[in-house]
Amino acid sequence: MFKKANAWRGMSFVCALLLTISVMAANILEIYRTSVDAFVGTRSQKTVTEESEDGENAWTYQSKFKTAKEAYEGFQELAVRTSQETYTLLKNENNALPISDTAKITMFGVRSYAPVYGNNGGSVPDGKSTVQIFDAFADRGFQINPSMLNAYAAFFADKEWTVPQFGGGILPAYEALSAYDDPNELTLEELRQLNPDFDKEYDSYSDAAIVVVGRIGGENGNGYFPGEEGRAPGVETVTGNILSLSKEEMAIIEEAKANFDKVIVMVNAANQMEIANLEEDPDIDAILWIGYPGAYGFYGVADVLNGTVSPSGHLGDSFAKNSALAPAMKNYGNIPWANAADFAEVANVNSYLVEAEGIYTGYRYYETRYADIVLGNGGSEAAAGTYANADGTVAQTDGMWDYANEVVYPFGYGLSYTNFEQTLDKVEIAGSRETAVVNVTTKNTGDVAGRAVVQLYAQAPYTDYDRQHHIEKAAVQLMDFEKTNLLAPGESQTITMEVDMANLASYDSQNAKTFIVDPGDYYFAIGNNAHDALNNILAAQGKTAADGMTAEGSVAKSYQWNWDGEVDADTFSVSKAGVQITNALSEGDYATDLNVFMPDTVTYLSRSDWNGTFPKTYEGLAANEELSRLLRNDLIELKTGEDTSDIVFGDKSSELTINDLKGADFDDPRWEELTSKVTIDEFLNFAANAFHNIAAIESVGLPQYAADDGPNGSDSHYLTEGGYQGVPYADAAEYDYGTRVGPTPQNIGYSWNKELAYENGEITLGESTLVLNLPIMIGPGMNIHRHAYNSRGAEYYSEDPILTGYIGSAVVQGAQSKGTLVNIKHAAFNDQEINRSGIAIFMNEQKARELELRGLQQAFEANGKPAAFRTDESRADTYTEGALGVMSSYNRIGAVAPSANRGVQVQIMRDEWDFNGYNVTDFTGVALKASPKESIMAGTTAFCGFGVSEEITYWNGEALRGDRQMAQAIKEDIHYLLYALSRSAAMNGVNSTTHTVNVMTWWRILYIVCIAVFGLAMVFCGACYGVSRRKEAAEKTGKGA
Amino acid sequence: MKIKITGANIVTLIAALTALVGMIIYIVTSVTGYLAVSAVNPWPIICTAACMVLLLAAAFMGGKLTSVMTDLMIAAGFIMLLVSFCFFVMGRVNLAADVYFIPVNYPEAEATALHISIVGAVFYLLSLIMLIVEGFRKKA
Repeated sequence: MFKKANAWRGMSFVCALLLTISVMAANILEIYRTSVDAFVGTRSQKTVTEESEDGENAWTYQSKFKTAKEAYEGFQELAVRTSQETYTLLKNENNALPISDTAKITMFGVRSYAPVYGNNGGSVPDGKSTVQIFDAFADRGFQINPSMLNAYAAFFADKEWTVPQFGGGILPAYEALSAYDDPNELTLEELRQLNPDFDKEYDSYSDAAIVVVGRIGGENGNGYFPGEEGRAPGVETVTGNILSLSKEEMAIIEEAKANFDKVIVMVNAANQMEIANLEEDPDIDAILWIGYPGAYGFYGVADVLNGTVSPSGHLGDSFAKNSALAPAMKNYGNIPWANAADFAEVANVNSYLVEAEGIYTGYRYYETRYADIVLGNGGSEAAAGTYANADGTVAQTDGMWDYANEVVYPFGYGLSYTNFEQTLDKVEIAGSRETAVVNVTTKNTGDVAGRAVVQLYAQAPYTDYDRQHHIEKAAVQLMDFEKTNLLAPGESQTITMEVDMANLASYDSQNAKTFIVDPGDYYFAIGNNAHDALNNILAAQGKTAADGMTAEGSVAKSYQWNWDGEVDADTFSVSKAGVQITNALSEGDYATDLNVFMPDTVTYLSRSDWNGTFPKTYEGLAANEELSRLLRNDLIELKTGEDTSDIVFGDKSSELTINDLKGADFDDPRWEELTSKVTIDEFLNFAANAFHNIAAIESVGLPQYAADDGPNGSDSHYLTEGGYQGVPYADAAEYDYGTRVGPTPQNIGYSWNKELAYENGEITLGESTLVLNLPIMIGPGMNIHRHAYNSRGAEYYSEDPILTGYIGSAVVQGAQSKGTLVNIKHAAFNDQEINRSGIAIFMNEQKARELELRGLQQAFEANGKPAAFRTDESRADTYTEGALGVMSSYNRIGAVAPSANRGVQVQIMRDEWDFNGYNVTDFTGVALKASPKESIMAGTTAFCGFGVSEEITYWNGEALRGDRQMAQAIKEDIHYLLYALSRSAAMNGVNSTTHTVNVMTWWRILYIVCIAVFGLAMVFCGACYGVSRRKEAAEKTGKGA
Repeated sequence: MKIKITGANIVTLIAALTALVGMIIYIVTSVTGYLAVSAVNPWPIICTAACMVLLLAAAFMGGKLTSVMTDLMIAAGFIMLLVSFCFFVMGRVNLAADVYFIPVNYPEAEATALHISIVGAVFYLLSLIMLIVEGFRKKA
């Protein structure tokens, strides 16, 4: 055995190598423990509570699901019910819909077999739960043409659903249909090859042809581009943009038209598609927008198609004939800094966007320009390349801007199977100007039950003061909305809305440097959509179709009042928290207006000269010295040696734990005592380990927890891990299903139903927290849609800040009622996926404050309480506290990292909005791109990502302790994060014995076994080598003797 | 001094050469591109240099050393190489996590640094494999 020394020598080397690799693997697995858990579905740590001092009372938040079966059914029930309210009927000629619930239908289009169930990244639908479209339709009673279905089935026979790029499980989507630049529709010839008889049973399944067209979307890649750049070679579309229908899709639609009397098109896309040709085609009988229905959503689609439910969704975005002509699209995509190469790579300097469109995105642009033309204020003249022809293509010569050529379906549009009559009963404007009370009665005058949406819009005057100080005003803007109950035919409902008039104020960054209200005539109007409401306002202003209006308006549906006097710069100059509102983004390092750094560079779009100020593409800019200093992400020099002895860290004299402050007010004096127990290094460890993780802080008794993305349910965890109040479900093994089963968030926006959104917060986020023990759920997504081309728009609600803000606020309130520490994402201006990490976003402060920030503000101030909640005593304790958590964006705000922009993070969020919660970066890690020290000073409490990058050399208490400002910021950040967690489910069931223990997962067993085996083997081989060498030596000596 | 080139020291020389390439790649990726502003961990360089000294000594002075001494020098070189490999890989895990775990729009330079580093780590691995081969070889 010991004769071959070389073999033992070699084996000991092999074992040493394998031992080293095992040790490295063990290190890596432990460093990225929470990520590994997320990816392989393990739990490597758990919280143990050995005894309960106060029994049931420790469980502040109660799950409604006591078994996995209840949870499975509960998530499914809400998913189907929610989906039903989100589908938006765009066209329904001759009552083509509904169809019989046993209708014999023929399904056309590759998406009729493989629809887009949900996002392709971020809030992906759970493939394990997904009920496929044809199964859902069959379950509901539809009889589907098998010949056509088989043709598509043959195409997908050798294809598998994919796996998401992050998160767990299966993505119910095929690789073959995953391109942004090609819808990959099958041609008739291809269908013939797949099934020569695909068209043989048309006559037997002729109740309706249902064509499904779709576009993917989500957090996955750069997304869509307009024009030729956005189309793969050979792809031709109606308008030239990928968001209109391709030649192959049109061929399928023509096949349906040629062979069926009734043709229904379902639009399975989140990005607004350009479908004017379908709207104008008399042979297309119905169009139903379904967005991304989710895992069970095609049950809901069937329920709408067969009339079980009357559609009640309304568009949360404007659908244009050619969305690429929106002024925002002039500055979109990759527009690199001319001197990007001059910066260190880790500074992450790539490109910029100049959002020169100002406030004129979505309907604010289309409707305001329309109003100006009707009012004779100009706006008709349009330069080549800035307006659409009648067919939706880009006009190549100077000409006339025509609303009819621009907008297909306005913001707020949506039809029903019944008819509603709405009356504006009463308007009371408070003398303080701060609120208004509006009563609207809705009566179902049709034949079937249905829900209606009350949409309340307003118009503020556009004055000389505004022109002088570059303040823009939209001709119509959403102020509030409510959804009615299910109204039976003949039934009425009166809804009282309490309108927050702060949302009508305009931000004046140049003169008053706060929110102002102009003197002049103001209007409220109700309408079926923004255009309808605007027409009602125009009617009140004496305009008719003869003036160029697209339809006559109703004066009775509008209300006019006048505010006289001077420009009011007082009423809305103080926030609800009592903080003076003044410029935060118009001067200094944190400015978002490029003109601050490069004077007279940007001309913002103004309704005073639509054509002359229409944005140009700002490209080729080089960052000047001032901008370059900011772009380097190293703004503040750390001081050393300052006296910080009065800022206490690591005090061991107190017995307080975070559990003692469960539910305590932010101003409770005990926080000082508790936060003094935490050391700087503990805080830094907490902050650096925040990728889907809440790191333990032992000094205050905070246990470690897992956390998860995202807005639509847990990305990585399944009911198999579920439990009730710390006890695993007995039936967990039978329910290997996820909680991300509902329609995509944009669909929820299109429901226009605050109560339903609240319920989604309770279940989708809240019950994910309680069932899966995930105190932080990253969501909701509340960026607004700047234009149609951002592929991640599906994760956000709409183009409007009030619709986004109130739906998001409702989700937050529902989630927080279950103990979820929400992370609203992304603060702020995450307007595109292209170069999203590093891109510098510039805009004027008016746009920032009146669009994106106004939307976010609603959730942080707990605004938008549904009318039904205000009259319900049992809901009195809702909407009492704003959002307690936020995630900053990838993009820079202005030139600095978003988490380091004190204008947004401190002056606006912490001060004006009184936000006292948890603030985490979006997957930056502690790296220069996150500007870590500046971010800590701006209230960042955690850095989502993989630890500390090598370039950050100051990530220790010793380096930071000597900077007084830094020490104070860390102290405040500890307070923020502990306060937020103390009010969350992280404290559920916790008492003084609660602690975190490691769990022996399979991967831990594997690396321990490997280390032990290879270690022992190495020692053994080494020993054998030694023995054999001795023997060899002895033999040699013997021979020699 | 006349040096006799044998199969044994050819393998050792190849191991030294591949280790050298690995080290050069480590240095290049540490001082240029994405990691240019990061502090360079000197241990992979120190250990690789020590390893090369040991391997070259074992290769060129093998005839003058006892076989146990030669074995010890190669074993020590192997351990130095393992340490270098370990530091190199652990120093780049962060990049791999960024690039492969989450589909963020990480800087292109980060992916470049990672991919070049992977090549460097492969050279270290080749060097280790060469020494394992050498370990199994019968004494010349």
